[in-house]
Amino acid sequence: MATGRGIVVAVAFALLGVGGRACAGPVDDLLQQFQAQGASHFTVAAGEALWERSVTDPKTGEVRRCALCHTTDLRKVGKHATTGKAIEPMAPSVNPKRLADKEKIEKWLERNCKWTLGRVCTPQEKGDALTMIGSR
Amino acid sequence: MRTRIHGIAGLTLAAGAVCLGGATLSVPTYAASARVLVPTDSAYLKECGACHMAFSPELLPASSWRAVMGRLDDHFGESAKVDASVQRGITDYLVANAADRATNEQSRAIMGSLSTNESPLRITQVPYIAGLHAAVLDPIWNGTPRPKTLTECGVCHIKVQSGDYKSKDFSVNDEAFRWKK
Ligand code: HEC
Ligand code: HEC
Ligand code: HEC
Repeated sequence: MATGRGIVVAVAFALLGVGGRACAGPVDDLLQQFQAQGASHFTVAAGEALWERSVTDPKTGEVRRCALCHTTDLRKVGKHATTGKAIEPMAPSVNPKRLADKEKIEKWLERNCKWTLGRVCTPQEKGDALTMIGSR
Repeated sequence: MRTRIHGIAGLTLAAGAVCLGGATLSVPTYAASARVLVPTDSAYLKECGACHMAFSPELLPASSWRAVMGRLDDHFGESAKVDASVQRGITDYLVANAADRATNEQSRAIMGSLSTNESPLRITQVPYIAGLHAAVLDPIWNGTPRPKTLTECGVCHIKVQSGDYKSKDFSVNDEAFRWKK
């Protein structure tokens, strides 16, 4: 069990290393934290599925998904769904400021999951999302 | 009340002029009041500039800013919640620089259009601002650009980075506003 988890974390490290980013630290901390909260291994594919999942907001009838504000291609500039403000690319490979601040990541995952899915994300979903974003 | 505020503002400006005086005597700080203050507070820019532009504090009265800051977990359908200490700091910054203390022409028009105790949560609900934009929000208006809402002021007011809403550099394309060009 413990070794399995070690391998999973190692794989996540490897995946996050792909873009050659300097700041793997905060994401690693978070992934370990999510696993301590019961998540199993994280995959880019599960992160992609979460990113494109559409949920209809019962109050407004709007169909919401992560890509609405951040775009499907994470290397592109996004656009806030309500205000239209430009949102810098999410992919750390083109925007090194991404996934560099643990508090910021946690704050926005909480807000964005609630707004998009109508609930907080599970530790599994958060880990998958970060693994996918980190691979871009 | 009003007079006292203006008095204080006048003093501050006078002090500013004295400071500037040493360097460039010819720059009249007071007359440049067609512009609104461009926000610089780093906590404000960080926490209030991610989903939309960080609005000038001078576009709403202090009571409105207190109301907006008092319900950040229910912020126009989103959560903009921040730590209590950050919230206090941002509230203080906004209140200290709100429209009721400002001497520029836009802030005065904003305050003049509000009745006492009226504290809209939106800049775009201030009667003066709402009136100016009624035409571009009318469904039958066929000019451009046509954003979903007015929140990103810079889409039309392209000099907004310098606090200038009056500029002739204006991206709205319509006969009625041709004089602006
Ligand atoms: C309504 C628009 C919107 C939607 C939908 C949205 N986000 Fe965001 N997200 C934002 C904004 C705005 C920021 C902060 C932008 C900035 O820092 O430039 C942000 C930031 C983030 C960050 C922090 C990135 C960093 O800077 O390190 C993560 C992670 C994130 N979003 C993930 C998601 C996920 C996962 C979803 C879907 C569940 C999602 N977002 C849906 C608007 C949105
Ligand atoms: C998570 C995203 C988000 C954050 C963070 C955020 N806002 Fe907003 N804000 C919105 C949305 C969405 C609207 C409504 C926009 C619309 O209708 O176009 C809005 C609207 C506003 C308006 C009214 C604009 C108008 O129509 O005149 C004010 C004022 C405002 N926000 C102030 C703030 C302040 C102050 C902060 C920082 C404490 C803040 N916002 C942080 C999302 C956010
Ligand atoms: C769709 C384009 C558009 C957007 C977006 C927009 N405005 Fe305007 N604004 C206009 C037009 C058109 C006028 C001119 C109205 C007139 O002169 O009759 C105007 C005029 C103004 C004026 C008066 C300028 C003067 O000449 O003294 C102010 C102040 C102003 N807008 C503030 C705002 C603020 C604050 C926002 C964002 C919350 C905003 N506007 C967003 C189109 C826009």
